Amino acid sequence: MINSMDQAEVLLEIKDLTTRFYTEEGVVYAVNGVSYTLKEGEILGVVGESGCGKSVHALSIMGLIPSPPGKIDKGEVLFDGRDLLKFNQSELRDIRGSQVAMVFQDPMTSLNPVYTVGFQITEVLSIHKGMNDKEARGVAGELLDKVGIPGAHDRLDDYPHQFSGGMRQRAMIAMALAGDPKLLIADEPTTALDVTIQAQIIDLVKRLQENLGMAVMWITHDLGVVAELAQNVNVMYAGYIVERGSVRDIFKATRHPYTLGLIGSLPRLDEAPGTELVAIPGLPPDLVDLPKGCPFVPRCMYAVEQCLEEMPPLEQTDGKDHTVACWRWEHVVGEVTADVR
Amino acid sequence: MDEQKAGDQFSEASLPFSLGDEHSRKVEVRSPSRDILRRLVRNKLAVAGIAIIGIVILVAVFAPVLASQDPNENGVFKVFPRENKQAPSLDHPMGTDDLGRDMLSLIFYGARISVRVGVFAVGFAILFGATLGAIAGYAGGTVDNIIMRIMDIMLAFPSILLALVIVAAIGPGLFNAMLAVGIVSIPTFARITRSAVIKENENVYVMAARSLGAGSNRVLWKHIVPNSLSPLIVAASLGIATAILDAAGLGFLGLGAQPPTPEWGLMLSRNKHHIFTSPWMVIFPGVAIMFLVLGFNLLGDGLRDALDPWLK
Repeated sequence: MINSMDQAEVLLEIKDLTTRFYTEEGVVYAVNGVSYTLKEGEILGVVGESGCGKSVHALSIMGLIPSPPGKIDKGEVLFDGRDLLKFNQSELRDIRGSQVAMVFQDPMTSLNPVYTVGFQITEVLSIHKGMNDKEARGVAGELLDKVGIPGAHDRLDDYPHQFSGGMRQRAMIAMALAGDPKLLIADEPTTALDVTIQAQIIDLVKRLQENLGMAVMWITHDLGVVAELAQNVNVMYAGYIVERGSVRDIFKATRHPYTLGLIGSLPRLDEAPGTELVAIPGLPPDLVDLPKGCPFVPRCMYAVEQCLEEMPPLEQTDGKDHTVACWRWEHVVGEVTADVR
Repeated sequence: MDEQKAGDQFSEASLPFSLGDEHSRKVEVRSPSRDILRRLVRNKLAVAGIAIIGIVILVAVFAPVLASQDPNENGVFKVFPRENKQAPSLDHPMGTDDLGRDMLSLIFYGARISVRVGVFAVGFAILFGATLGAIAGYAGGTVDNIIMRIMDIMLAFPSILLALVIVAAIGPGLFNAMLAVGIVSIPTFARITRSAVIKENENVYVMAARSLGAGSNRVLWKHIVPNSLSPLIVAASLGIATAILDAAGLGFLGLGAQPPTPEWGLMLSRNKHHIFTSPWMVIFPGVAIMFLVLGFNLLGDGLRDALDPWLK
């Protein structure tokens, strides 16, 4: 898999993406110079706490930042070589849904309550494929079937309130797939669902990804999901990517204290029952008032003087394509949750 | 919704016995509007409101059949000098006015006017008010500011005063009165629609629609506005009541319908001198106005409860 990955074309290249919100309370530094590439057919996990800029960075890619107060101050979002940030509204509309599609966190509110599920899927088909109602209805039924809704064709006329949470999320995925996107951005799609449904949705996306070959960006705060699904991981903190690498590198050769903390806070099957989970001390920083140096300093046990002075750049570590933004990464030793404790 | 959830959890296969055909049928498809209608019909006051409005509309439609005389046959208004100011009797259940016309017939024909006034004025107000409000709420910023400040200016006048000014400017008459009442109600509907649109715009489904390629027009008119209708429907029902009152008020002041139109407000005004000698000439038009306004108010309250069961 990894080998075939190397030859794949770059689908999305983000350079120095900087998104800020100019509010009355001050400037919120939501995304601070994020750069990375995503290849065709790749599954990328984007991990971090609430408010670390994961969702804002995804919305920036789609051009969906509410403006005002939001503004993309800098950067490029090259999708298939074209900079989406230079697109006008109508060009963006053509891209949304047909090239990049998105699934949101809360399936309870992400479907329009006044229309049937079938109508909402056919709407996407008519926007992007110019299908007439009859054709679109057939395709919508197939899509619902593909995402595993039993009796799909009979449920097209159901309203969202007649679907359970898991079914609604499946319906949302069907809508997202209707335009055959090359990239599916899933913004915490399983957070609002219970664990069994969560596992089903993850399996579904995995299967769809294999069948359709699209790239998937899976945004989550759940490292467990990432380990199961993704090939590469971006760990985000306070609007920065602090560590990026393959799933293996992130879990087995962790080089950032924050990632280490995230892994340490996960329950493990192989530890003694009753062992307390380790929480990362402190709170994420206020994005209005970001410190000059590394934003993780107040919560970091490895911090030294230099960390207060200057934000470290993303540096290559000893692992291939494994980068980290930490002055002291060489001192951070991965896979050793015990040491941190 | 609860039935649906329960249905998900107990599939029949997991039960050790069969529930039979009765229970294995698919849960009946229920659209949200059906639910609302059901809640509305369960509310006795709302049903009373619907009944009142229904009666008045029937009377309005069948006025030529129900009334014993047409007050303005062939555009000439008839006078029956020998029958004037008769107290209610079997021949004239509501008595006759100073020109000898049958009050009941006048009121039947007046129903046509009042219903038309209410529906037209509110329809006009919604058409412009809701459009302006939706644009203001969706666009925000300067556009919002300009539209809503104009609305604020209109709201700063007492509604009847503003209606008077408008009628004075465009001339008295039934149609102009309807127009004036409609214009005066625009800001109310603009405000209601604006706040509903702002509230709906926060919802994830709006972002989801945008993320799938829907443009601003589609998002606003096809996704947000249909979801913002509930407060508008309630306001429309209550607004019709106000519009009827305002139009009657204009009629009373001589700026609305002109004689010989059998408009209820105008009847009150014309007959007010006879209130001590022939009270039926004033009481019945007044009761008719009250009756119809009450109907729309009851319906409006019922609709509010039905559309928003959590808010009482």
